[in-house]
Parts: sequence; structure tokens; C-alpha cells
Amino acid sequence: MNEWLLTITILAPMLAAVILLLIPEKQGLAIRLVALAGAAITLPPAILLCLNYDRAKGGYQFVQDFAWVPTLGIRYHVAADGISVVLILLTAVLITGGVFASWTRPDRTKEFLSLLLLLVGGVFGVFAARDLFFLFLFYEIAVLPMYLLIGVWGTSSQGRTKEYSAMKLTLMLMAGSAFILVAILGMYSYSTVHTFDMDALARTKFDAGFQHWAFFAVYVGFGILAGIFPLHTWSPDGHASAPTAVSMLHAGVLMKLGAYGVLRLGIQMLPQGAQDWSFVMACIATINVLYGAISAMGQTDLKYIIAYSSVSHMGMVMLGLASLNPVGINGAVMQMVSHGVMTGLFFACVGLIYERAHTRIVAKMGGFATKMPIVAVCMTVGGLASFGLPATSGFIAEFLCFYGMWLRYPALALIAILGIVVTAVYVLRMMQKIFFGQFNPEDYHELPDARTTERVAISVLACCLIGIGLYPKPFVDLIDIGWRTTQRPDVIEQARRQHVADATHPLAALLTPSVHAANSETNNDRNRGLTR
Amino acid sequence: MNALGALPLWLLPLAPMIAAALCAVLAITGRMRAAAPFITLIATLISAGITAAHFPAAGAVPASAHYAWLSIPHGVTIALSVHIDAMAWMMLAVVCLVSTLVQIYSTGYMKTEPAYARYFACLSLFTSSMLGLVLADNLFQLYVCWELVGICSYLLIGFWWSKKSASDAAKKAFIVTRFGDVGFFLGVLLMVSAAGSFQFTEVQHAVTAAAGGQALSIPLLSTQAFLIVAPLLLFCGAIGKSAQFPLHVWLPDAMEGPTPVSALIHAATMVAAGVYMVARLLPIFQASVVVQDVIILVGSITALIAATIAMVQTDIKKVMAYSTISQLGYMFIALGCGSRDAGLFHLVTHAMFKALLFLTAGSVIHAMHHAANPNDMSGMGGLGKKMRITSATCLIGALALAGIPPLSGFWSKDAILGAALASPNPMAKVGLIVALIVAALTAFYSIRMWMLTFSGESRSETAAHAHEGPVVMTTPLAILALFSLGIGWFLHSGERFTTFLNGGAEGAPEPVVLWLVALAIACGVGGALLGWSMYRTPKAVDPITKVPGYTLFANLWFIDAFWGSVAAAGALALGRGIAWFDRKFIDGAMDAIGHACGWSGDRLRRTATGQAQMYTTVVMACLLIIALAMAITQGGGR
Repeated sequence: MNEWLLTITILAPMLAAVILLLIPEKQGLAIRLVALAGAAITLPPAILLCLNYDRAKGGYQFVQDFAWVPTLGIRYHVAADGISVVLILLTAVLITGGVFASWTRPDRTKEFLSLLLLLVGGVFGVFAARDLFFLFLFYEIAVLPMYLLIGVWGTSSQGRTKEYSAMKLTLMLMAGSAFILVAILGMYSYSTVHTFDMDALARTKFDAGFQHWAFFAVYVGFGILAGIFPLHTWSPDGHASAPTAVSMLHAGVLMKLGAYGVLRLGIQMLPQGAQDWSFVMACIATINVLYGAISAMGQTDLKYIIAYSSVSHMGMVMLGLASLNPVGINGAVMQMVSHGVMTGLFFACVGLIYERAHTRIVAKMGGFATKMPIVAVCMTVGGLASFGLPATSGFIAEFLCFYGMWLRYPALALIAILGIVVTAVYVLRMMQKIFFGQFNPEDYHELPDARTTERVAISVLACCLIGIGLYPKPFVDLIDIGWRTTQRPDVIEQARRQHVADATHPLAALLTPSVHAANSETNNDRNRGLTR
Repeated sequence: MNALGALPLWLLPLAPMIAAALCAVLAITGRMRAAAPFITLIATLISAGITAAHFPAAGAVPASAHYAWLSIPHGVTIALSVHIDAMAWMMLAVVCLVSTLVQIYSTGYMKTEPAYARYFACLSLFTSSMLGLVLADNLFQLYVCWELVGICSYLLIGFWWSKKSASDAAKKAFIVTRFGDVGFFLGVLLMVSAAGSFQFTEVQHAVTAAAGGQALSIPLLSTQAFLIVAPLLLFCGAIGKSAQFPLHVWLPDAMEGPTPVSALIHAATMVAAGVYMVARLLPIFQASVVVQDVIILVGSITALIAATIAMVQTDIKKVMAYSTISQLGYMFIALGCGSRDAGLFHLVTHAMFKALLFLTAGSVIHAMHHAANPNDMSGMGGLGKKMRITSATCLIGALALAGIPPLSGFWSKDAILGAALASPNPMAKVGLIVALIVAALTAFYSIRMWMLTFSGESRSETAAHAHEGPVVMTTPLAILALFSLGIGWFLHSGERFTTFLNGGAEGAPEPVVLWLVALAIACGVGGALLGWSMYRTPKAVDPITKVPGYTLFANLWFIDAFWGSVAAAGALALGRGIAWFDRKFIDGAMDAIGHACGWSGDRLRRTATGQAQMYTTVVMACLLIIALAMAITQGGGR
């Protein structure tokens, strides 16, 4: 059963997407129920993946592996480690929330939900794939529906049409795909066995020069989707134009695909290249954190504020990744989860507000808390998580990212930490402008609070933020085990050979504590021998 | 008591947390709101009971429990702790006592409030976070609770959020303290990378070792620099949270919150967290003379500036807010002079009389709530006859604050002056002089405040019809008045406080410097008499306006104006500028690439003319170029 879990999560939404197309448009309820089933059915396997992941064993589990196109070395190979299972759970939660949030979409619901589910199937695929061909395939399945989802169902704003935003987003991400494809084909042809299988590639030795450029291609390619400066400009326009559920998923999980790609293909498969570029990555991430936050402060449109805050928070993820040490990586993946939930919550709330108030200009709002208390409470929780308040998931994630960066480039950590003040400034300003102050009944005739379906979606997301914040240990443990046990064999070998005694060394924690202890013991023995 | 002592220690900070969750449910569902204060009170009493059951007897091992929370790679384990040593117990007693009284008082003060349950939920959450802060034995928990009390403060200052001034004040309080917190966070990072642990004992050990000449490997800093920079960064947190210069600007605005909240959070407990933190980690701050000097200097500047501003305020709560800032400065002078005991002694007495003063102010505002501006003292006067209990207890509080013997403020202020005199640090003399001046100013403004409010004739219709509040409001006043009267003498006599804090080890009693005591009394009594004589007879214009420097004081030394116009406006302008830059240049560059592709495509399209001659020419030209290139490269090869 366990080995089918991943395939089920990938195929269930895609199957639902196909079924949806067969239902007549008139049967609105049936369409919604099928979509909900396709989304929610991924939750039990996702939870099972987290629970059943064998922490003592580590490594990739739930493996399903068979040849697809043997002549080209393409295999259908899916497997998940601690990092993947956590991100799959995040995706499952968000797509369910996304379907709830689009429950009342009026126009062409069938096609909308169908594309949304197709996209999510692709996201699950990326998190599970262990074959570069399938990884790239799933990646494109996840990215391309975005063009239609924004171009058809989006809204135009700030003098930018939805078609323009959709075009910009797609073109920039396609440019990224080109870089990724180059890197993938490079690895394929460089390996003597000519395979796309990531396990086999992990055993192949890439020389330093190849790793240098291959890592660069991976970083730029996936980095565009993760919103790295200055290639982030698709994100504000795209997120602002996209309909609610699409923004939720795009900022919530799709941007994570970018960071995940850098981690999986870059840092894990090309460790030497990652070392070369780590300083550049750290600098760009620091810029992202501050630049995104300061830009968010200068926005007037609610969705643009959230979109720029995503740029800032994804900078935090990249900051953790750039540290290349286990603390930072743990923090980065935690931040992916935290930001995914938080930004999903934000966009869901913003969608609700926009639907009722028909404006997204914060200056025109005020006192909404009297009319929509549930939305106000949930969005406040999201805001608190956003500036890393303890007891929300944002805190432990940002803490680990900063601490990781502090161990590698302390000066950059110092600069990036200023981001938490700027974040507090724009979040609190935004909250005040929307929810607090005097409500003006003349501007808004009716502002009903969230409906039951929406209420379920946003309060579940808000509870997730607090729950993870109160007890992050299960998640951090999963991520830590995953990261520690899925290193390239030669990296582990190197760590073992160097007897890394310094605990802050990036390789140190690769050795499981027992191995580490054993090694220092033999080390001591040898030293004793020398003195004698 | 024994039954409560058997309860698990974790219930001490978590009982109010559970109460907060229950009250939040009541607030959201909107049912049984009357139950909220009982839930809150029961939880606080449970915490108080557990505290009482774990009184650290002299020489006994402090009650302590640890709960593993997370282990991050590198083997650093984060454990949450409940650690009750003498210092923590002292603070727990203060928090539990003031919390309980404020909660009882609130049932009367907030009775007509629709969001009654939300209020008590926030209050419980605050009590829980504050207890967690006090019970920490490691920097991590300290930081976590430090932020949590900050957010509770935000929620309670902005309690009446439909008022713009209240939501502005809440936002300002959080952001200004956040600036200090960034420093605090960096300080924590530095300390952890030096000590490899979050535990106070380990951190202190590492700092002491470094001060003793042992080299540390810390990123960016030499060991010498570390000993100065790291404590100062931690002190930044205290500057923010305890409202010290130049980050004191949030506390007066925080008076927008309900008055019981001001008494609990912005007078007795949360703002004292900075003092508590510095006292708890005092060895770290004493490792370098520079750090001591900075602490004394910041404390002195704050004490002086805030006291002068308090003299000229007309809003009764603003007087008390500036007074709180000034008194916190006093405590930092003591800590800078190396006297933990004097600083904490003043913390305790101040918590009593300032909570009392705020609650009496609450009574007055409650009575004046029909006035256009219920906080304005120029509309009061003559309330003494209408509200006898409030008037009497407020006088006790004011005299305690003024440092008139034998009330509590006198003893603790005297301890601080003694500490400043005894310190070998030259900067301590500055602290001593400032402290004496401030003692006189304090006596003056506290008496002025009392006279304007309670004596003379009523200056408004509302004041003429004011009456005393219900018994749930007057009882806490009486209890706090008793403490304000007696606790100073009680703790001072026989060196009780010092002995208790030092775990029963009887220290040598501080030598009494008679001339200093006389001078302190003279300052206090002189200031009080001056205040009395100036406001004895009613005048058309407040005589304070004729005092030299009035413009400076009334404009708050232009510090708020500076922050408002330079920092806040500058940050917004920067935000707009960067946002514009991003749209115009970064995004413009992306668009330009798109346009360039379109343009070149357009140009290339024009080469497809459909003329065979043209195509042949191009093909021939290309062939020629290739042939030439091959000739050159191959020829060169030979």
C-alpha cells in the first residue's frame, strides 16, 4: 500500500480534472463536489506519508520505480523523503482550501477547477519525482495552466491587464524552464550511464567546472519561480491579477517548487557548485528579504502588498538554503511550509474582502473588523506569522533561517534581520487600514462575513499556523532526517573522511550523531597514539 | 497550599493560557460573556497558589522543571523551563498580585464593554506570557515570551480599535519596541554562538570566561568587542520594552488602552521586563565598563527628560506614563551602578504604587466618562469630596512616588541613591546627581497631579456630579494602598529583600549615609511643598506654563516630532521610492527585454521578402564567409 501513496496523490487530482470535463456545466454542485473530492482525497495519503515515514531509516521511502522509456533511460520513479512528505502535506492542505475558496466562483467553474486540479497534480509530481524527465514534465504541468487561469479568470488592475500579467508570468517562467532543461540535459549527457534517474545521477561524479555552471543554470531556472531578485517582477503582477484560489496555490506552493528545485537538483546533486555560488545566493536572498519588504511598504493595492511580501518571504527561504548548513536548510523548508500556509490564508482573506468591498485599495477601507470579524481574526493570525511572532510557524522558520545564515555569513544575517522590522511595519499598517478605525456605512452597503465553506478554509489555515508554531518538532524532525539521509554518497564520505569536529561546519550534521560520536572516538584514539 | 503545590509546575504559566483560550471561545461565539472574568481569575489564582507553594526557602534548591521543545542541528536543544529561584519568585509574586487585583478591578471598570470576553482573553494571555518570561532560565524562552507580551500589549492598547488614535498607538508601540527587539535578537544570536547554549548559566559562564581573558571564536567580533557589543544589543531590547530614551515614545501613546491595562502592563509588569532581564543577566552587563556607563547614561537621560515632561502634562494618564518612564530610568541607574538589589527593590515598590496610581486614575476617568475628554485634569478638580477612597489612596500613591518617608518609594529610592554613591564608577556620580534632581521633580509633579484632580473646586459639570466607583474597584485600591504604605519599610528592615534575593546569605548591611538620606528627603519634601504651594489656590492659567523651559517640555523635547517626521515619514518615502523603482526600472528592464524580442522579430520578418535573387545573394554571402573562416582557421592550424 505504502508504495502507492505517492502515485495516488499525483493521479487523484488529475483524474478528477478529467472527470470534471465530462460533467455538464449546468450541474454546478456536482462539479464542485467532484473537485472537492479530487482535492480532499489527497489529504489522507499526505497525512499517511508523514506518519508512515520511517524516521529511523531515513532516506527515500514509498518508492515506486519502473522503466518508462528504457532506451533513453527514463523511468517512472517516485519516492519521498522527509522534506517531500512535508511539502506534499502542505500542497494537499492548500488545494483543499483553494477549492473551498472558489466554491462560489460564477463563471466557467468547470474549466477553472479542472485546470486547478491538473496544476496541483503536477505540483505533487515534482515533490515526488526521482527521475529528471518526470520532474521536468510535472514541473511544466504545474506551471503552464497558470497562463489560462490568469488570462481567462483573472482581473486587471493598476493599468496592467490580466493578459499582460499572464503573458509576463508565463514567458519569464518559460525562460527559467530553458535554464532547467539545459542543466538536466547536461547532467544526462555528462553521466556515463545516460540516465535521468536521480539516484543514479547522485552516484555519478560531476567535476567542479561542470558543477559550477550546472548549478548556476539550476539556480537561475528554478530561482525565477522562487522570485529571486531581479527576476521577481512576474510575481506582483501575476499574483495581483490571478483569481483567489490561483494566487493561493501559486504563492503558496508553486513558488516553493522553485526553492525545492534549487535544493533537490542544485544543493543536493551539485554540492560543489552550491559551495561556489553560496555567497551570491546569500546576497541575492538578503536583497530579496529587504527589497520585497520595503516595496510592500510602498504599495497601495492589497494584493500587491501580499505579492511583494511573498517576494520577501521567499527571500527568507533562499537565505536558509544559501547557508548550506542543516540549520538553514531546516529553516528554509519550515519557511516554505509556513509561508505556504500564511500566504494561502492571506490571499483567501483578500479574495473575500475584494469580493465584498469591490476594491483592493487599502486607503479606501477601514473598520472592516466590525463587519467581518472572522476574516479579521484569521488575517491577523496570518500577519503575526508573517513577521515571525513566536507561537506562530513563522517564528521558528525565520529563527532557523537567520541562525543558519549567521553560522555561514554573519554580516548578511545582520542585514537581513532588519527585514523583520519592515515586515512588522507593513503588516500592521495594512491591518490597521483594513480592519481598524471607523467603519463607513455609506461606502459599503453590505459586508457580510465569510460563508461557512470559506470560514472552514481560513480558520483551518490559521489554526495550522498556530499549531505548527506551538509545536514544530514533528515537522523539523522530518525535514532534518530527510536532509541528513539523502545526501550524495560522496558528500557523506567526504564528511566522514574529514572527521568534521567543528559542529558548525556545513558537513558536520550529515553524520548522524552516532556516526559522529564514533568518528571523534577513533580520532581521539589516533591522537592518543600519536602522543604516545 | 499543599494541594496546589502538588500541581505540575507547567500549570503555573499555562493555566492563564488555557483561560485565554476559553475566553477566546466565549468571545468568538458571543455566549456567556459574564463567565470570562471568573475563568480568568481562577486561572490567575491557580498560578498564584502554585507560586506561593514554591516559596524558595533559604538555602533550598529552587523548584525547576524543563520541557524539551525542539532540538536543532548542532546539538543545541531548546527546552522550555519553569525555574523558580528567589528573583523569579519575587517577580511572580508581583505579577500574580497585580494581575489579580487588576482583573477584579476590570470587572467593574469594563462592565459595559461589549467586547468583555475579548478583553479578558487578552488579559489572560498577557498574564501567561509574562509568567513565562519570568520563569525562563534560557534566552530562547525569554525572547519568545518577550515577543508575546509585546503582542498582548498591542492587542490591549488597540482594544478600542475603532478609534484611530488607539489603533495608531498600538501599531506605534509594537513597531517601536520591535526596533529594540531586533537588537535583542542579535544579542541572543551572539550570546548563543559564544556559549553554544541558550541557558543563562552557560551564557554567563562564557562571558565571565571571556572577561577573564579567554578568547572566544565569535563571527565578526574580537573578544573585547564582543564584551561590549553583545550586552549592548541585549540592552537594546530593554530600551524598547522598558521605554527608555530614545525609544520611550510609545509608552505615553499606549495610554489609549483601557486604564486597568495601563496599570498592569504599562506600569507594573511588562515595562519592567527590561529591568528584570538586565537584573537577571547582570554579570553579563558588568563585564565591561562601557556597558555600565551606557546603562547609567540612558537611565539618567530618560529619568530626567521624562520627569520634566511629566511636570507639564494635563492628561492624568500621560503624567503617570511619563512618570513610569522616569522611574524605569531610575531602576536602570541602579543596575548600571551594579546594584541588582536596589533596582529590583524599586521595581517592586514602583509596581505597587504605580499600579495604585493608575487604578485611581481609572476610577477618576470612570467617574468622568461623560466629559468630552475624561482624562483632562483641567476639567477635574474637587473630586476629593466626591470620591474619598480614590482621593485618599491616590494621595498615598502620590506620596510614595514622591519618596516621602516612610512610604515605600522612599526606601527604594534611597537604596538606589546609596548604590550610586557607593559605586566606584565615575559615571555613577552623574547618575546620583540626576537621581536627586529627578527626586525633586517627581515629588513636584505627583503632588501637582493630585492637587489638580482632587483639591479645590470642580472645574466642570461632570466633575461636580462625579461619584465613587463600585466596591470591586475600590477594594483593589485599598489593598494596593496598603502595599504602597508598608512594603518599602517591610522589605528594607533587617535587609529582608537583599537576604531573600541572595538565597538567605546575609549580606553586610549597606552603610547608611546620613547626609544623602537627608538630601533625598529634602528634595522630596521640597518638591512636594512647591507643588502644594503652586496649586493651593485656584488660578485661571496653570502656573506651570510660566516655568522656564515650558515650551521644550510641552513639546516633549521634540523627540516625538523627530521620530514622526524623520523616521516614520522617511520609511514611508523609502517604501514608495523602492516600489516606484521596482515598477519603473526592474520591471521596466523585463518589459524592455520583451520589447527587444518583439522588435528584432519584426526586423527579421522584413528580410523574408520572397525574392529569390535576395535569398540567393544571402546564401552565397554566407557560403563565402564560411569558406573564408575555414581557410583562416585551417591555414592557421598548419
